[in-house]
Amino acid sequence: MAPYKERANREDVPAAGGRRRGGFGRKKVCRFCADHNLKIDYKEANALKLFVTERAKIIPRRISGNCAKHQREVARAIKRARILALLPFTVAQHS
Amino acid sequence: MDETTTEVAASEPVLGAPTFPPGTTLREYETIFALKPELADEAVDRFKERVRSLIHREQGKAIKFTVWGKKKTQYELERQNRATYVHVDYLGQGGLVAEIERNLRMSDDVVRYQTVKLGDEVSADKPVEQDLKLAGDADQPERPPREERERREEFGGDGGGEGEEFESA
Ligand SMILES: [Zn+2]
Repeated sequence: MAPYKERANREDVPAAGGRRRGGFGRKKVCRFCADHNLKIDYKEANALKLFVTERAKIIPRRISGNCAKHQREVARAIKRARILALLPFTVAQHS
Repeated sequence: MDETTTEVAASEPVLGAPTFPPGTTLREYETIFALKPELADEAVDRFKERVRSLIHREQGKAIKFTVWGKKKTQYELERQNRATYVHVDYLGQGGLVAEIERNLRMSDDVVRYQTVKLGDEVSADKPVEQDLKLAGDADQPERPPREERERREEFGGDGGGEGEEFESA
C-alpha cells in the first residue's frame, strides 16, 4: 500500500492555478448552508454515513461540496461518532 | 429536584439536585457511555441512578437520561459487537466531568464514554426532563466471526512473506 504515491497520481487534483469545469459536474453548493434546518450531530450516525466512503473514510469537501465551516463540523462529528463506535474507523476488506 | 422519578431502582435512594442561588449559571454537558451488552435492564437503570446521584453530589444537575438501548457497534468493544448506550444531559462546573469520567473509567461495565460541552452559561433553572428509554436495535444473532477474524489476522501478520517464497521457488 502506498497512499502517498496514489495521491500524487490522482487525476482529480487540480493543478495550481485553478480548476477547469469542462462541461461536466455542476457547481456544488454546501447543503448545510442551503438548508439551515439540517443539523450536524455526532449522535446521528445514519446521517453522517453520507459523508464517509465505503471504506469509512471522510469524504473530502471537494467531493461533498461542503463549505469549509460545515466540513469541519461534519469531520468533527464523524470523529466523535467513531469514538463511540457509532461509526467505523475503517472497514475490513473482504477479498 | 421536585421531579418524581417513576422507576427508581429502589436499593439506594437517589440523591436530588442541590439548590442553586438565583441567577446561577452552569456549563451544560452531555456524556454518552456504552455498557456491556449482557447487563440486564435493571442493572442499566441502577447504573443510571448512580450517575444521577454522582452528578448531584458534585453540585451538578441532571437534566435528562436517555437509554438508547442495545445497539450494534461499528467495531468490537471489548470483544463484543453490541453495547447498551446511555446518554445523559446535565449541568455542572469544573471538576464534575472529570469526576464522572473517573467513575466511568473505573467501572468494569463501561466499555466507552465520551463527553461533549453543549453550553457555557446555562441557567441552573433549566428544567429537568423526563427520562427516555429507546428500543435499540432489533436483536440479531451474534455474528459468528471466528474464521473471518482469523483470516484477517493472517493478512496483517506476515509482512514480506510473499517475497521470501518467491526467492526460494
Ligand atoms: Zn456550509
